[in-house]
Amino acid sequence: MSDLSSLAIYLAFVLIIVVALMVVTHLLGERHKARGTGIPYESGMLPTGSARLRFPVDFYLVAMFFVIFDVAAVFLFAWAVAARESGWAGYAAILVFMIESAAGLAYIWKKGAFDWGARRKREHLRKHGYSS
Amino acid sequence: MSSADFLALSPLVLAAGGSIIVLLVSAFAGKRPAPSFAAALVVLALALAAIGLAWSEAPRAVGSLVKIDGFTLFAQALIFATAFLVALASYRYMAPRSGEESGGDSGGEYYFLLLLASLGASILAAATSFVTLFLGLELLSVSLFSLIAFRREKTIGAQAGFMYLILAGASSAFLLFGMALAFMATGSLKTADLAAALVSGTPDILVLASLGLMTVGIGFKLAAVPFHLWTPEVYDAAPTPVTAFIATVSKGAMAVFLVRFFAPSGLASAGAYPWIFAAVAALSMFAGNLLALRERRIKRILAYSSIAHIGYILIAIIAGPGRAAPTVAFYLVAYFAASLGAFAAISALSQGDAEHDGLDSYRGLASRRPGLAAGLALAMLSLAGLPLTAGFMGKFLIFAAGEGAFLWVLAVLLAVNSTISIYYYLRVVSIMYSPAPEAETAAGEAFGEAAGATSGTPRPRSARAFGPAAAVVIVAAVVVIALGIFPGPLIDLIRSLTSGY
Amino acid sequence: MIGLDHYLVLAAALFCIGFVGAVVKRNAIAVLMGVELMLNAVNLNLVAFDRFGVHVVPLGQSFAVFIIAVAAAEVAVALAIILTLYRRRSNTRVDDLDMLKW
Repeated sequence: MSDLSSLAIYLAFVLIIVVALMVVTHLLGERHKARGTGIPYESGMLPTGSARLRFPVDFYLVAMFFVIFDVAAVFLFAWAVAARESGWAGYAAILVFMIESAAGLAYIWKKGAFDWGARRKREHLRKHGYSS
Repeated sequence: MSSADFLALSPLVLAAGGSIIVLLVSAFAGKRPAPSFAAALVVLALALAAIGLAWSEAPRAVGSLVKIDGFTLFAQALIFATAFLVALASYRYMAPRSGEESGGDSGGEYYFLLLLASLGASILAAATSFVTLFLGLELLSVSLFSLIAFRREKTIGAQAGFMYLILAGASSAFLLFGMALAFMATGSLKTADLAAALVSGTPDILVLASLGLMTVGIGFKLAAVPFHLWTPEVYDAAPTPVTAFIATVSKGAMAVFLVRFFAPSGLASAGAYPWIFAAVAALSMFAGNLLALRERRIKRILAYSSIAHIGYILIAIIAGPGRAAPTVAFYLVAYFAASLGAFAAISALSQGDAEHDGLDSYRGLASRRPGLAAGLALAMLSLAGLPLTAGFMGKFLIFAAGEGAFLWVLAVLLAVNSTISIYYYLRVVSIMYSPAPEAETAAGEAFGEAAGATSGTPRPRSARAFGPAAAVVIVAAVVVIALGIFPGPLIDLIRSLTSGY
Repeated sequence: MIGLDHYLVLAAALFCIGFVGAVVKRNAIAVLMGVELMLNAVNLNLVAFDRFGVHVVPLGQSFAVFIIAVAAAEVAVALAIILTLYRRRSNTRVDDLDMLKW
C-alpha cells in the first residue's frame, strides 16, 4: 500500500466523521428562540458598538517599520552563518549595510515617526497655544 | 574586490553613497528643499565625473554580476546627465505650493528618490546577471512608486502610484518566475547562459517558457504593446518632471539591457525571436501613433508617442550585431533630449497652482512665452523626426540599420508611422502659434485660470521668471539642433564605445 | 516521495492564485496580497531548484533572500500610499480609485 492511498483513506475518514457529526447534531440538537438568543452575550450584557475597531494609523507605521527592519535581520543571519568564511570582505559588506540601515533609522527618527501616543498629542496642543 | 573593480564601479558607488547623504540632508537640514537639491546635483555631477575614472578600467566584468564596458558607461553617463537635468527642472515645480501646508517636510526626499532611481537604472544598464537585473529594476521601480505619488495633496498621484506599483509588482513577478525557470534549465543566473541556451539548436521547453515570462516583465517596463495600458494614466497623473524621468531613464535603461542581452549572442537574428520583436515593434508603433491622434492633453499625447518610440527602438534592437548598439545609443540620446525639452517646458509652464496640461491652454503660447514655446516646438519637431533635428538623424540611422536586413518591411512601417505622427506633433506646434482667444488676452496674466485652476490665488512671481526648468529647455534645444546638424562626432564616439557589440 | 515536481506544481498554483487575486479582488490590500503571493511562489521555485538541483553554490537561496527584501520594500511603499489614499477617502476599495481599469 503506497503512502498516497493511506492518505486518501485518512482523508475519507476525516470527511465522514465531520459530516456525520454535523448531521447528527443537526438532528438531535435542541433549538430555542428566545429574545436574547441572537445577541453576543446571552447573560444580558448589551454589546457597545461593533467589534471591528479602527486602529490608529500609528500602528500601521509601526508595522511598516517592523517589516523593513525585520528583513534587515535576514541579511544579518545569512552573514552570521558564514561570518568566518566570508572574512573581512564580508565584514566590510555587512558594515556598509548596517551603516545604511542606521541612516534610514536616523531619518525616520528625525521625521518623528516614533513620536506617537501621548507625546505627539502634547506637541499638538502646545503648537495650538494650550499649555499642559 | 580589487581596486580596479572599485574604479570600474565608482559611478555606482558614488551614487549609492551620495543618496544616503542626500537622505540625511533632507531630514536634518531645515525645512527647505534647497540643501537636498544642491547635494543631489553635486552627487550626480561627481558620478558623471567618475564615468571617466571607470572608463580607464573598461571593459571589466565585476564578478558575474555586472560588466562595465563602453556601451554601459555611455548609458550610465546618459542616465546621470538626464537625472541632473530632471532635478533642475523639478526644483520650482516640486517646491511647496502657495497656501499649502508642508507639514514640516522639506520635500528634499524627492531628490533622494531621484538619485536612487538613477542608481537603479545604471545598475540595470550594467547587469549581466538576473540578480543585478532584478535589483536594478526594483530599485528603479520602488523609487518611481514614491516619486509618482510624491505630492500628497493630489489624490490622483497616489492613485497612479498605487496602480503602477501593482502592475510593476505583478510584472516583475512574471519576470522572476521566468528567471527561476531559466535557473532550473541552465543552472546559472547569468543572462549570457540563457542567451546561449536559446541560440543552441532546439531549446528546452523550460527555456522557452522562461523567455515568454520574462517578456512580460520587460515589456511592461518598456511600455511596449500589449503591456502599455498603464502609460497614459501614469504619465498624466505623475508630477511632470517624474514623467520625464519615466519616459527617458526608466525605458532607456531597459532598452540598453535588451541590447546587451540580445545583440552579442546573435539571438536577435536566430529562429522566431526576431518575428516576435518585429510584431511587438509594429504594434507599438501603430498603437502609439494612432491613439495619440485623438488625445487632447499634452502629457497623454507624449505618453502615446513614447509607446511609438519604443517601437522604433525595438526595430534597432533586432538589427543584429554591430548595428543594434550604436543605433540604439544614438536614438536614445536624440529621444532623451527631445523628451526632456518637452517635459521641462511643460514643467516650467505648470509652476504655481495650475497643471498646464490641456492642449487648449497652449493656444497663443508663442506670444506670451516665446522662448518656452520655441523650445517646446523644437522638441515636438524632433520627436516627429523632421530634418535638421536630432530625431531625424535617429530615425535615419534606424532606417539605415533596418533596410539592410529582412527588416525593410519594418523600415517602411517606420516611415509610415513617422508620417502619421507628424500630424499630432505639428498640431501642438500650430496651436501654440495660433492667436490666443480674446478673453484670455484680456485676462493677460491669467495663465493659470486658462489651464483650469479655479483657486483664484495669486500666482507666485517666480512662475514667470527665468528658472532652472527653462535652462533645461535651452540645453535640450541646443542638443537637438547640434545633433541634427553635426551628428558626426557623436556617431564616431558611439561607434568607438560600442565596438564590442 | 515528495519531489521537485510537487514543489513546481505548488509554486505554479500559488502564482496563478496570486495573479487571479491581484486581478479580481477589489480591495487594495487584497490586490497587494495577490502580488506578494506571486513573488513568494517564485521564492518557492528558486529554493526548490536549489534543494533538488545539482548546483554546489546555493545561488537560488541567496536570490530568494534578495527577493524577500525587495518585496518588503514594495509592501512598505504600497502601505504608505494606501494610507494616504485612505486618509482622503476612508476606504481601500480599488474600484473607488477610478483610474484603475484593466
